[in-house]
Amino acid sequence: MVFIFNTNIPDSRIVKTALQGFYGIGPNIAHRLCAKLSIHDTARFTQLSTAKVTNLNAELTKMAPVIEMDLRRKLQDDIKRLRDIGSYRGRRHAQSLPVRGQRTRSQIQNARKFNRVDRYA
Amino acid sequence: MPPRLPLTAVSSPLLRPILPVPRRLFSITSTLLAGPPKAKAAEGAKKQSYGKKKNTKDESRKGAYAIGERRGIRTRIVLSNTNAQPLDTPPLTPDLSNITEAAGNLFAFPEEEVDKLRTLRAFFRTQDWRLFARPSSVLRRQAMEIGSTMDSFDPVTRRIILDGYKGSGKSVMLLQLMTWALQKGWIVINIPNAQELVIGHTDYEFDPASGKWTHPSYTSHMLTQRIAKVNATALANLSLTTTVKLGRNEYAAGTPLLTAVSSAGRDFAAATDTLRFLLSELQNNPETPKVLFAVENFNLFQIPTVYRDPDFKIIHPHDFALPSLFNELLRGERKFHNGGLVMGVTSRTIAPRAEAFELFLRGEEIGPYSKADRRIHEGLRGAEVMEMSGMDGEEAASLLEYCRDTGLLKVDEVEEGLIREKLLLSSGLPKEIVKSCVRIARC
Repeated sequence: MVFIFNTNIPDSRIVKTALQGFYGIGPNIAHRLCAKLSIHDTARFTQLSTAKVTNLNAELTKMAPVIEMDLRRKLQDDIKRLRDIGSYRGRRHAQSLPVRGQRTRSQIQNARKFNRVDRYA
Repeated sequence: MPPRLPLTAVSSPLLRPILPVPRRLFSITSTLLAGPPKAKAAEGAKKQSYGKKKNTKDESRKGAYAIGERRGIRTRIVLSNTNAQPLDTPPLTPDLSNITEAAGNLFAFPEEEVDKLRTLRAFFRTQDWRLFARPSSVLRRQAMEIGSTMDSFDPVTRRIILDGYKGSGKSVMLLQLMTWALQKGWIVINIPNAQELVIGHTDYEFDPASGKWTHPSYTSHMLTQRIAKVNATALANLSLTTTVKLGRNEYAAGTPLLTAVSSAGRDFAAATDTLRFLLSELQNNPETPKVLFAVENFNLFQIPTVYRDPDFKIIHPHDFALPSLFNELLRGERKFHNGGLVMGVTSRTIAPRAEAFELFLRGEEIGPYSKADRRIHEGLRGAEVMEMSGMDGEEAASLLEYCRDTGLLKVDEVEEGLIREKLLLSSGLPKEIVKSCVRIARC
């Protein structure tokens, strides 16, 4: 297990894909992060030196304002703002209905799931 | 070009002791041993049930393969076949390169060298060793040509890029040259697959001292598992000319080179420096034997790697230490003290090729408006390009006779007509000739 950015990750995981587990990091950012620290495509945490793990942690800490909790909070704040100013989009979020003009005659499952004021992901 | 010998020419009895033998049988099936099929027991038939299925997962089957076991099976190299007829093929010996009559004859790789060649990873799965009792090959004219220069007393390094069609015998010729080099007590260094260094499957690190990128674990493995093992005797006889600090340890002048290579090479961080030091010792130490440095799938050293630098730019293959060291040898900037052979063998199976490299192989310059990579072209300047040709009649005759004797080719006599037919259908490529024999056996 390696402890990175407050998360325990099994040693056997491939670094590039494990990084994509963090909210806000996709394939592109993960690839760039690995390139920055010279981590090759198939590297697993077992193969990383302690220095590299520390550097990876430092890089993620630097990115903290744009990943994980801060990013989730930003998303929530944005939706909250929409509701507070009384906009149509804010109202639709509060009602768990489609926000961007989709029809509501048939299924709106995803809207019910995602469009909330207290959204987390 | 030397006059072509008639197809029916018989070489000296010393070289070809196998005379026409009766037709052999070759089979790799074991149906007879399996016995008659067992009758199915009627009462044992499974009852159809429609209820909820039980969890029938067999716990004992969990993890049927240990870690790395499947890869072991996938990459296993089989060099013999118990079903093939064992033949009394003469061994490949170093003096053969000077005997003109030896060209076009079949020789077996000696057992001792086979072990070393395995360690060097010089055999490939794609080669048809599994069809024969022991690894043997036809000595080609190109091998004779290079082999004769291997014997010269001048400290000359031949610098060759070997190209040719898929299945033309490039890698097998390198095997023969390596065998000779090992027999002559040369130091043999081999990079068995250049692809491993560019596809991002091994770690990489920037070395600020040399300004090059390195492959720490690959280089370490190459030094300790291949170079130190195969060349143990030669390296143990050489002593360091200078005191050197590699990694954490210091090695005094006079220490055996083998000690430095095997102990400093183990340290990933010091591996590339150790390889550089080894090459510089081979350049400066007057007692060093000749050296053979070969790279297989050399065209992979000319394509952009998948590695990225911290600015996310693709790293050029020549910015890596191993390819650039090899290129320095190819260009003649680095020279082994007592000469040797530097050889890059291209691959047409692993196909990606750079335009600049193609132009270089054809001996053409890059046009002023071309987008081809000039660095590739410049990086190889000075190397000799050798084309591996198809087999001629005599070489093909030897190969077909071998297939006949071992039981692959079901004919009694290898006649001139058959040789002509096989040559025509296979374009003279030995791989295709053997393939055509196997097809006949299947009919």
